Amino acid sequence: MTVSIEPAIEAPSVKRPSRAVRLTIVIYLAALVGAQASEAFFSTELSVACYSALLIALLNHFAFAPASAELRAALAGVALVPLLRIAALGLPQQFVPSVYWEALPAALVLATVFALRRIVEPGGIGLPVRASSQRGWGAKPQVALLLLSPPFALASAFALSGLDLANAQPGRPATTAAVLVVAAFSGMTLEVVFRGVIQPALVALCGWQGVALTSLLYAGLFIGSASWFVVLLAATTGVVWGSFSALTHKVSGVAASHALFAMTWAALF
Amino acid sequence: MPPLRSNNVLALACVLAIGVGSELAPDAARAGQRATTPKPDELLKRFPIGTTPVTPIPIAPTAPEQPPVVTEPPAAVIQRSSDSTADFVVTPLVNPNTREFIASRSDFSRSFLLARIVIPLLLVLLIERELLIAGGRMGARAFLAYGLPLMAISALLAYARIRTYVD
Repeated sequence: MTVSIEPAIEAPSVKRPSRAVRLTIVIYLAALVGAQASEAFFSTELSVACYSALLIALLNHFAFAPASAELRAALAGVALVPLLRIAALGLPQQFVPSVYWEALPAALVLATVFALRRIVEPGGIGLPVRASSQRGWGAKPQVALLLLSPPFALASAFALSGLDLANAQPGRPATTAAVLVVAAFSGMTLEVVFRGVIQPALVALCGWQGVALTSLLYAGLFIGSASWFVVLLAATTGVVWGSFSALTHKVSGVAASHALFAMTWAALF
Repeated sequence: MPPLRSNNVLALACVLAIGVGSELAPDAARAGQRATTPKPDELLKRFPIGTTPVTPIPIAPTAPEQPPVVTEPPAAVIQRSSDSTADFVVTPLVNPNTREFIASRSDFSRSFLLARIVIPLLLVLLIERELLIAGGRMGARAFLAYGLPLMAISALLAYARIRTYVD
C-alpha cells in the first residue's frame, strides 16, 4: 500500500525543487525535532505549544504560500507529526485504561491520513507512486523482512538491558493480548504515516536524502524515551524500513515488520 | 465573499460551546460541590501519592471504636497502583514524559491546560478553512482533515472536566 498526498491542482512540476525549497523543509524538520526535544528536556506544556505553532505554520504554508506541488505535499505530510504528538498528549486520560493510550492518537491520525487520501488523487504530482509498469520486489523480500523482525527486536531488547541502558529487564510475563494488539496497531500506523505519507513526499523533494530525513524525524519521536540507545535504534530501523519501502514501493511489508517488532518489544517489557 | 455555509457555522458554534462549556460548567458545579467533595487537586496536595488520606474523627471514651473514614484516593493513585506497564515502556507516542505528565495532574486540571491550546488551534484551523473556501483556494478539506482529530481531542477534554462533577 502506498499512501500519497496531492494537495494541489497545479500541473505536476517537472523541474527539480530548488535548494531553497529543500532547505525550507529541512528547517521545518529541525523545528519538529526541537519541539520533540523540548518535551524531553523542558516541559510538556511548552512542547504542546510548539507543536501547535508548527501545525499552524505548516498548514498555512501549505495552503497560502506559493509553493511547488512537491513542497506542498511534503508540508501536508510533515504536519501529521505535530498532530500525532498533540493527540498523544491530549487524548490519554486517567479514566481511560493506559493500554489504550497509544491506540487513540494512532487511530485519529490514521483517520486523518485516510481523509487526506480521499481529498487528493495519487500520482498526479510526481510522488513515487508505483507505476503499473514498475515491478516490485515480489513477496520474498517482504517475508524475509517480516521473519527478521522478531529476532532483531529480541537482540536489541537484550542489548538494551545488557548494557544497563534502562532500568528494566526483558522477560516480564505481564503482557496482555490488548497490549500486543495496540502495539501492532500503533506500529502499523507509524509506518503508514512515516513511510507511506511523509517519506514519498520527502523523496520527491530531496531524492534519497528524504529517506534519511524521514528516519531522523521518526527517531525524534523516541527522544522522550530518555535513552539514546532507543533513539539510535529507531534511526537505524527507520533507515532500514525506509529504504525497503522506497525500493519496493510498498508500505505493507514494513508495516507488518514494524507490527511484529513492536509486539516483540511489548511482550518483553 | 460568499456567505458562510450553515454547517460550517454550526461546527464553529459547537466548538465554541465545548470551549465555553468546559470553562463555565465546572465553575458552576464547583460552587455547589466545594462544601461536600474536595477537588482531586486539593486531595493530591493534602495527601501525597503513597499516603492514605485519613480524616480524623473524635471518638468518645464510652463509644465503641469506629473505623476511620477513608476518603477515596485521587485517580492518579489508583492509576499507578494498577498500571503494571508504567516502569519502562518504549513507545514513541506515550513515552515516560507523557506518563509523568498524565500522572502529575488530575484529568480536571490537565484538560483545562490542554484545552487552552487545543481549542484556539481548532478555531484557527476552522476559520482558515472558511477563508480558503471563501477565497476559492484549494486545501480547505485538508484543514478539515486536520481539524477533526482536534475536535475529538476537544470533546474528550470537555468530557474529562464535566466527568469530574458527574461522578
